[in-house]
Amino acid sequence: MALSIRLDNFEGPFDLLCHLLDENQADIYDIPIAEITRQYLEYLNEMSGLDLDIASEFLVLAATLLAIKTKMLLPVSRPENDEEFPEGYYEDEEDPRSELVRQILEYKKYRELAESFNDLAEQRSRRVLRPVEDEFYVSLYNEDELYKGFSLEELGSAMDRIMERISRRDIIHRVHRENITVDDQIRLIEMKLTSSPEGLRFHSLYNDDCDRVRVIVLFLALLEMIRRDRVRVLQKSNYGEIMLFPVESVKKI
Amino acid sequence: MEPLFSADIRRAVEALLFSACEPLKTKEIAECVQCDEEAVNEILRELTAFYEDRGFHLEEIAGGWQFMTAAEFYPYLQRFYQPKARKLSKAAMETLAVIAYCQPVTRGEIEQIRGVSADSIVAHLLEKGFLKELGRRDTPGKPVLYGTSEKFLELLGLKSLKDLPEIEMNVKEAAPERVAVGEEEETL
Repeated sequence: MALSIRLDNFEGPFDLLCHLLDENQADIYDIPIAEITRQYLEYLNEMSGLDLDIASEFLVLAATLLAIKTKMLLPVSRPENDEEFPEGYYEDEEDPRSELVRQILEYKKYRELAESFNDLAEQRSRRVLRPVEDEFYVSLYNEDELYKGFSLEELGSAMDRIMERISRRDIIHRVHRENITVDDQIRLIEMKLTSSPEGLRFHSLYNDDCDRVRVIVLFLALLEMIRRDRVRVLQKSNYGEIMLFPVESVKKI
Repeated sequence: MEPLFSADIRRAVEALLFSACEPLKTKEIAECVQCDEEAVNEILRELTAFYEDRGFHLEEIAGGWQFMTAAEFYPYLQRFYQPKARKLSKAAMETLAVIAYCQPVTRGEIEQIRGVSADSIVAHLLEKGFLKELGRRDTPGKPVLYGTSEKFLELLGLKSLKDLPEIEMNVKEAAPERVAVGEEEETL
């Protein structure tokens, strides 16, 4: 359980990594990557076991460590005619750890600087300043002159400006969810069809205040009716008016 | 207001510094006492020397001048004041260190170095007044550039950014060389 107390203290993945390196007394320029990776992952497991939220940054470094470990296991391949290429031509030649080492050193540098900042701040806090006296500055204003050069009209117009700005803000709309079902729309179309045996213009199904959902559902309803063979659809010419007829009336014709 | 006699200017500067609860810049003092900055600087030097062995000193801090008690008497003052705990967290100090030495710096760069998201810490430090925005970098996304404020210098008791502790360069330079050695061993 001692582990959980320490876990909270890590500021980030590098902090944890530095801690592991210190604990293992590892040479930073020759990190025993397999062992460190194993311990690092162990910590992460411990964290999730304790129900701590593992920040994604910790996982990023875990992935990096595993990638480095993998790279180091792979043999370095280079073609036979080596002389053709200058030294360092192959990216693989670089130690897979070197980027990580650079990052750790960089991080450690600032971590140490932060410590000397703490020392400076500590020294500084031992030296006391005159306290900020807000009241003192307030008292510098002559109370009688506080409202000088200021009229009721100005206050009114300032208020107007505020009201105007408020009214220009987005007005909250309450959006009601309309429950439109395909079945409802089929019934609606059938009703319209029966009242117009001479044919119904497709466009007349829609009126101006149809919203998007209604337009779509109405169209689905029409497709459904065509599938169920409950409506006849005729278009006399290209781009011409599409006419809908009740099935019975077509039969009659 | 009557112009001051030269002997009174020194006392006026002293009075001004005594009344202030934040560092006063030479320029501000000069404007107040209607005197050129060089003369004020001379007076400030005299006053600094005058207060050297007193219970409080005149100190140059954050680009200005301010009276501060001598550190050695802090234990006694502590008996009177309830010292406010205003210690910054480790994460906040680290972030400040990165920003102090790399400024102007973007949030992304801070995150790169520290390996953690800097969102909330930067927001916190901005709110506390230790940081200021220095515009935006002309790269995709136009990230905000951050730098340290005068309040940061006050926090550490520094005159200016030049007083920051020096970075140990040997660490940085030694690194590639030694990695190179490991590299050879690897490929052999």
